[in-house]
Amino acid sequence: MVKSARSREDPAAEVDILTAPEGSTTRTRRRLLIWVRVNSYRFIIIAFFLVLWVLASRSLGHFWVSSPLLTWQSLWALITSGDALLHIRITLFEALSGYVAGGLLGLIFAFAISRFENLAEALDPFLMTIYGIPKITLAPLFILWFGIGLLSKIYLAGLLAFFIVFFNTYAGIRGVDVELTKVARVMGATPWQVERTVVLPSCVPYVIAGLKVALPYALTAAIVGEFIASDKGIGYLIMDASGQYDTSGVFAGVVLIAVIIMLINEILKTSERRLLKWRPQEERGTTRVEDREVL
Amino acid sequence: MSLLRVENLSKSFVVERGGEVRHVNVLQNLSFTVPEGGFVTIIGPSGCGKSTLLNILVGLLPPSAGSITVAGHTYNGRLHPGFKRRIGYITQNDNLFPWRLVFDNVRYPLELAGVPLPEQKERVGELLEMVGLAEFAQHYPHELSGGMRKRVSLIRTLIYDPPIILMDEPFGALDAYTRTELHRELLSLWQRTKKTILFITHDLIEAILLADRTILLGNRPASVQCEYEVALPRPRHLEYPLEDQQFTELYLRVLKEFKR
Repeated sequence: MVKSARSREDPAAEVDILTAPEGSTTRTRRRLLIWVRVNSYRFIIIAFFLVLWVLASRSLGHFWVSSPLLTWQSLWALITSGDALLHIRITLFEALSGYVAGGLLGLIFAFAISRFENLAEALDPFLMTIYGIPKITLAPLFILWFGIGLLSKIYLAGLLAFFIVFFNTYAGIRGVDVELTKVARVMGATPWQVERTVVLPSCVPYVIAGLKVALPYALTAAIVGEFIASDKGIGYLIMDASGQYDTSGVFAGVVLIAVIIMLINEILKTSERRLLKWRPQEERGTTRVEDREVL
Repeated sequence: MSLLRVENLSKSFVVERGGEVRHVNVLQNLSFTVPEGGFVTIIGPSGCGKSTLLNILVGLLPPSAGSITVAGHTYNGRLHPGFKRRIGYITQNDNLFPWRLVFDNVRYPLELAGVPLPEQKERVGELLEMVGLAEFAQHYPHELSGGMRKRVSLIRTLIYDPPIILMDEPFGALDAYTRTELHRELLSLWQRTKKTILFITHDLIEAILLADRTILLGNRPASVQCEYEVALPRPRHLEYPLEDQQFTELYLRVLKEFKR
C-alpha cells in the first residue's frame, strides 16, 4: 500500500530516495514526508467511512445499522467485563492450533507426494475436486462428528490451512528453476542435497504466500464453526447478540474481528519482510498462487 | 594429450505425434577432442541440437551411442552429473541462488563436498579478490550488475577446481563493453589457472577471438562440419578484432563455411 501510493503520487520522491545516500538528510526528510502523506490519506479515508456510517445509521435507524457510538459502547462493555478477551482467546486458540497443525501437514504432504511422480499424477483429479469444494460447507458435518466444543473448529481451521499451504507448496516445488537444479547437480550435489539446498529454499516464497493467505481463512473457519454451534468465541458472541436483536453487539463483534485481522496482517508483513529479504523489492509479495475463493 | 574426448556421439529422441512414432536424430557421430589447457570454441547455428550436446557433455543426459572420455575416465550410457566434478558448467544465465549471499553462492560447491568453513572462507576470499568483488561478499545477487554476477558464477565454478570448464554462451546477454571486459578477464584466468575450456557460442567473432581451435557444427543432425586452428598470436585485439588482417581472413573463411 505504502509502496504504490509512493510511486503513483510522486515519482520524484522515489528517485530521490534511491539516489540520495543512505542517512542523508534529504533521504530522511523525503521518507518523513511520504509517511506523513500516506497516513493523512489513511486518516481521510477513515473519517469518510465514519461519516458514511453515521449517515447510514441516522437514515436507516439504529436497529438496522448501529451507530459508531453505540457500537463503541457495546465494545467497551465487552472489554471492561472481560468477555472480549475470553472470547478472543477461544477463537484465536481454535484458529491458530488448526492453522499450525494444518499448515505443517500441508507442507510435509506436498514434499512427500512430489517425491513420487506417479502418485502425484494419480492424486491430481481428487485433489482438484477437493480444491473446488467450498470446504466451509463441511462445517455442519464437523460439528456433527467432533461436537460443539473447540475440537470441531480446530479441525475445520486445520482443513482450510492444510489445503491452502499444500497447494502453494506443491506449486512451489513444481516451479523450481530446473536450471538451478542442473547446475547444483553438475557441481556434485546428491539428490538429497538438491532437495535441501535448492528445492526447499526456492519454495520459501510460495510457502510464505500460502501461510499468509491461510491465516485469515483459519480464523474465518473457526468463526463460522462457532456460528453453527458453540458456547464460546467471537462467532458465538455475534450469534448471541443477533439472537437478541442487539445490532450494536453484532457490530462490536465485527469490529473485534477487524482489529484482530489488522494485527495479524501486520505481524505477517513483518515476518515476510524478514524471511524474504533476499528478494528484490519489486518481486516481494508477488508469489501468490492460492488466492482464489476457497470459501 | 586430450583432456576431453568425444567419440561418435549420437543422440536420438522418440517423438510421438498424432499416433505416429518417429525417431529424431539430434546428434550423429559427433567426435572432437579438447587438448589439456586448450581453449576450444564450438559454433553452431541455433536449433542445431546444441543444448542436447551440452546436457550430454555435463553428464545430465545419457547419449544414445558413443562415449565421452573426461580426464582419462570413459563414460557412456548412464547419467553421471558433472562426471564426479571433472566438468564445470557455466550457463547462459548466471544461475546464482537468489536466496544466498554472494559469499554463500561461491562457497556452495565446497559446502556440498563438506569442506570445513574456515577453509571455505579463505578460498572464497581469494577468488572474490581475484575478480575484484571482495566488497560485495555480503550482497545478494539481485543487488549486482550482470557483469558482476557473471564473475561470481565463474568463480563459483573455479572454486572446486574442475579440470575442464564448459561454457554455454556465457556472455550472450551482456552489453558490448562488459563483454569485452569479461573476455579479457576470462583469458587471463585461463592463462593463470591452466584450465581447459570448451566454450559454446553462436557468435563467430567471439568464437575465433578467444579460441586456439574452433569447431563448426553442421545442421541437424549435428556433427562436426569442420575445425579451424586459430593460430593468431596472443594477447589478441579484443576491442577491434576486425582491424587485424589475419583475424579477418580467418573470420571470412569460417563465415563462408558457416553460411553453407
